[in-house]
Amino acid sequence: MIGLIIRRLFQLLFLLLGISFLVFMSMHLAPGDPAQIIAGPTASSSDLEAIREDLGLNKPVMVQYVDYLGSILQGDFGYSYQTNQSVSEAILTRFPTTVKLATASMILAIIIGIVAGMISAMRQNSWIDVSSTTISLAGVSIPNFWLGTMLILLFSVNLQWLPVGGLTEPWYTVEGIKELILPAITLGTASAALITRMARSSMLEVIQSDYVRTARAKGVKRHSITWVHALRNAMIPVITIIGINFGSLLGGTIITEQVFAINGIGRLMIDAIAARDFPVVQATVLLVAGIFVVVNLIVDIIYAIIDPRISYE
Amino acid sequence: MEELLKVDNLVTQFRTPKGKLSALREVSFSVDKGETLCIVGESGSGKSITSLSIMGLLPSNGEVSDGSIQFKNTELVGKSERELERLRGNEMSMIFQDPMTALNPVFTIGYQLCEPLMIHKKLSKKEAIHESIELLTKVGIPNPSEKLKNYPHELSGGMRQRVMIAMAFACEPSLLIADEPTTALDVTIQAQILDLIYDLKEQIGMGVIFVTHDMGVVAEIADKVMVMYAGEVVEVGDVETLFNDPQHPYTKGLLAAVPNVDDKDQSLNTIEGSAPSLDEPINGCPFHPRCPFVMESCKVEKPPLFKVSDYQESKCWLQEESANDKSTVTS
Ligand SMILES: Nc1ncnc2c1ncn2[C@@H]1O[C@H](COP(=O)(O)OP(=O)(O)OP(=O)(O)O)[C@@H](O)[C@H]1O
Ligand SMILES: [Mg+2]
Repeated sequence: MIGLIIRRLFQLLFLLLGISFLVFMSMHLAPGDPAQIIAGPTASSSDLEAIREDLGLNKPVMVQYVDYLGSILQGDFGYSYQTNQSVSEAILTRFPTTVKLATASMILAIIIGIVAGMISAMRQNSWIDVSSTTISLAGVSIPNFWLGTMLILLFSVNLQWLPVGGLTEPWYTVEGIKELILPAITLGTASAALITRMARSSMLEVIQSDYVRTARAKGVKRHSITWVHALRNAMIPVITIIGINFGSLLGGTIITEQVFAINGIGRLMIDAIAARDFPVVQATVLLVAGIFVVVNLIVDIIYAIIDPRISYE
Repeated sequence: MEELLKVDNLVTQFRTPKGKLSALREVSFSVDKGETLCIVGESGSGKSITSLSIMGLLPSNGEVSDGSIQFKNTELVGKSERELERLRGNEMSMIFQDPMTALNPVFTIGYQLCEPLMIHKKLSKKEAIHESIELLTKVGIPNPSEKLKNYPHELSGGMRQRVMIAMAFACEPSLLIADEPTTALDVTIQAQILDLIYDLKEQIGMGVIFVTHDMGVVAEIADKVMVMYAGEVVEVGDVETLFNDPQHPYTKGLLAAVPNVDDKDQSLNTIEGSAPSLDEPINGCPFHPRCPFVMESCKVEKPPLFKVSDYQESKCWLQEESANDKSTVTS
């Protein structure tokens, strides 16, 4: 296990290096001049030249990249072109918000998905199963932005039960929870639907397995067959799906943050891309990639804990 | 001998896309205390379904739709799942064919072995572990206390089957059903497992239903043999009678298909054709299309189970003939 973690962290290092290179190059080769954006449409060419000089944008791209790597290694992610705020600071102030949103959605999706999937499987072809299967089919196909907009229209504009947007209060306060409900549903629905479908089919397979029959032959009670013997086995493919799905959940935060006007990493990234704010774009992309890898490492560890046949030696 | 299990006119059906199909048609037999009944018959004849019907472990699309199963003079058909749970693993146990898939891969051997002890004997975790170590020793597993901490995938097939046996014997049941427990194992291991089951059976004095394809095994362990064909019992008899004087043409065919080491030039007899599938309509005797002794009556009417002697019954019209012959001779 320790070996796995060390190996993965090494991989992460190389991955981040590769990603930083790709992002750096694509930003610098893409059309759009940060100097122009900073200085505004009326700036003279000597102003622009001064800005480029100041930001180091007139050096060869490779030199810029190496300089950039050098400063990252010292923990310096630079300053935002737009606000002059330190990038690390900008990220640190927004990161908790995104973590809160993603975690809430993920927990919601996992709980709803597993419970609905298990109940569906235990009552195969009942009305509960049919409705949960239908809803989850709809759930995977509904786009985030549409669902978010509809939820706002219904619960915030018409019924006025929940706030229209923002995510600023601490999550353990009533206000904080109210704020979190709609964005978490918006972001979590697709994952919940996916997990439901996976949990259902995996459970159906497991309850027909030989070892479940053996457990019944021993006289194990029905509920412990389901929640002990079957559940743990049925979770193995579900955890894989959760890991794979986490990437799209992260992508979803970008859209959800836009729809609900949440000041998280996703919005920071989108704004930065629009403004050609290179340092911010680089840092946010690296952060998201890093989270993705770390979450998948956690998934692999959980995987090995649940399934003793898996060893990472 | 005291009767342990009595199965009467058991009909088990499956709901399938082709409608309700009968996998067992009016199966009747009994097992006495301490007796070993072997069930033989080709693949698909309903041996496993007979076993699972008794245990109440049929697949979800199957059900006992008629007949009775009396275990220690109580009716099992129609019993609630709760009541069956109290019997299973306690009064009656089952060992399955494939030890590679029969154990739960995510729990240790110890956990799985302690389970029946804690459920039925109400032992504490500690007592159950202690008892498990003894059970593993009994079934011939070296280093039992180490093995308790192992997961199934860390054990060989033979070892896993020993664990299954330990589990089945944990609460000293009065009935053991073993569905081809050695088929999936190496030949050398097969003999060991067979001996083990036999020894434990002798110690506890329980009744055994042993499903097998192997006539050699039957000769070795059976007191009584039941031959099944297409979901029906076609012949029952005690082991000597059945081997020395089989009555039903299908039984004769099965015995003729057993290779004989003493006779190197023997040509192996196989029964031509194949058994009808569940959804094929059957007219008359189900075996008649393959029977070398087929008569007109066989194609029209299904024979009842004729009593050949006190020890033997056969479901074949030939029996009626010979009964008639006898009566004409004596009159
Ligand atoms: N779940 C099911 N649904 C429909 N038919 C089934 C089901 N399970 C078993 N059957 C059918 O019931 C019949 C009897 O099957 P069974 O498993 O008892 O055969 P068997 O005598 O044990 O054969 P084998 O020697 O191959 O184990 C077969 O025709 C089989 O196809
Ligand atoms: Mg079978």
